[in-house]
Amino acid sequence: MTDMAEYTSGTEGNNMLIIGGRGVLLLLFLSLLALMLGRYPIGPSQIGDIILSRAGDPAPGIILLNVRLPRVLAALFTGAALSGAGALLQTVFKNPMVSPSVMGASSGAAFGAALAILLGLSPWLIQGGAFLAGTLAVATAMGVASFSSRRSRILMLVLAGMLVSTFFTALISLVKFTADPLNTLPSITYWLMGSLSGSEIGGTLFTGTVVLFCGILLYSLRWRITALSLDEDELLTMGINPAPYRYGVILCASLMTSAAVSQSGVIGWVGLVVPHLVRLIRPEGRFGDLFLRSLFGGAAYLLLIDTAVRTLTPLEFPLGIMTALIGAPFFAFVLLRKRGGAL
Amino acid sequence: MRESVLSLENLTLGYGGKTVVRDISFEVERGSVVTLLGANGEGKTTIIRAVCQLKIPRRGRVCADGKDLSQLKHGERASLVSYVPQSHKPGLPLSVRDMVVLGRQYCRGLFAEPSREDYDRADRVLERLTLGGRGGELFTSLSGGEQRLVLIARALVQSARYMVLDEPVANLDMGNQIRVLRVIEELAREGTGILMSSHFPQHSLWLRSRAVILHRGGILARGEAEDVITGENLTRIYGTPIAVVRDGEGTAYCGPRPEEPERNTLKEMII
Repeated sequence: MTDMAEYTSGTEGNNMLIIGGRGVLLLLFLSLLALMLGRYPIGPSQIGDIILSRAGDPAPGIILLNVRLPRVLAALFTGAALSGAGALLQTVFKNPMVSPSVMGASSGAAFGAALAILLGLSPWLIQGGAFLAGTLAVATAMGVASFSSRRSRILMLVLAGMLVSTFFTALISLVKFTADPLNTLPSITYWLMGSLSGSEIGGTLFTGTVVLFCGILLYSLRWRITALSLDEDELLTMGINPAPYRYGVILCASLMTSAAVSQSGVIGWVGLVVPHLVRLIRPEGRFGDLFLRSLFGGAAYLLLIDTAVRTLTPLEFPLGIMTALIGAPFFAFVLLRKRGGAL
Repeated sequence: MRESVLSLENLTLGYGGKTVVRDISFEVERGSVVTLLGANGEGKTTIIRAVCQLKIPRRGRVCADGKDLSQLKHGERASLVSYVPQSHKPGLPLSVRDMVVLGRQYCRGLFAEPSREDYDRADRVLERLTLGGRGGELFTSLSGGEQRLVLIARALVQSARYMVLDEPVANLDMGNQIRVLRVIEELAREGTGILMSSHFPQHSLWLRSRAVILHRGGILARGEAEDVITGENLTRIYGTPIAVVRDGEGTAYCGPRPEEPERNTLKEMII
């Protein structure tokens, strides 16, 4: 009720602080919990000792700082990136079924990584290759769409994204076909299933930088993006030429997606489930609020699932399988509650 | 080339191999209403789209206050001509106020959020359009007539000198039709030049507007509504007998007469 009052008052500064504040508190709490949980439980006092570097035994410190911290950060950044990109693309394409993978970023990035693994490159180059190939895939889709007429361009962007996706998926199969079935193929397959288990602090910080940069840029553009949800004709007569913003914003979302996929492999459904859940709970939100809530919500969602995956099962269950297993029925529930697919 | 007019100069418009209108010209003065009448497919919407620079003419041009609209930047154009679409496909679940302030986006920076002043202006306009206090509601929760008024409000905050409306009373009940017509009348009185398309010739008469009647790719008649909206002209453009009748107070009404002969031929055909 109070939120509705703030919403109608027209000032949004408060909204940003409230959502941001609550989001940060939630993520801090969940992160602390995730850092303590695991096969080797670490208590709050031990964490204090490690931070103050007065712990006697080095093992908890190594587990906490070299294993769990990068993994927790990776879950936060990846979840935020996929969910934020989903919320953004659904708005810009005016289509509730669009997900971050639609522009070809996911399959492009997956191909880049698979190729790098096939060539036996270092983890850094695997991530770099994934990021570059993901961006390249989206650029290709945009290039194809730019040849279409103005009125059908939004549809063409989605179709071109699907074409590029299909193309890169075929290339991934080609890489798998030529890979050594004894060691390269399993590692490619495992990577494609999506997991955060190998997260290192360097790659995580790279992903984090991209996600933060794009997230801040997109949030600053929130009113232009709100305008982008109107019809092209309306926008043009309102003095806004949507084309450059649309391309810029889609590119930004794709950079976020590529960064996430290069970090974690292909993790589906986050970009679809979380923004829809946010809209189910807060249907009246502005784009800025929806985007912020999706970023925080996505981070929390993926951190919860990843923590569950590594604590509840004795073997490392690939994260991508869990997000799909949980995501699909959950999405059905969300859709049924909404009674329809309106944005 | 004249100041204070929106002028359509020798416009020829078409799609693919088909020419919809050929070499038509007329003007909309500031402070007046011009109604575009014509049967379906005669090019009313096409002309509206050409005026808003959404459709590139084969020949001819559109000028506002002496400036060729096709040569202007999007923002400059928006300060001269605003557009009220026939319908709005809902995207984000926007509140009424947010929907209206988007009309001010073109004079704000890329990263700017709508200012206090923008919201105040939106509130004043909504108040005028009998939607005061409804700003916090969701746009999609309003009735069709109210949504139309919000779209007019959004065009109004643009502060353009001319407003172009594509069938502003389509799909509205009679009460809402009058509500929208009142607003249009008032805007014209305050100095906005208004071009609207319509399927209701009597509205043109009620507004004491000027009318442009389209027929077979050209202009059949134009002038004061009183003079050109006649049973004869309407019968010709709609292809069915139409009567213009006046009540005791002199208010005009237009309507079709049921066509007996055709019904007979239909009966004969069935037999």
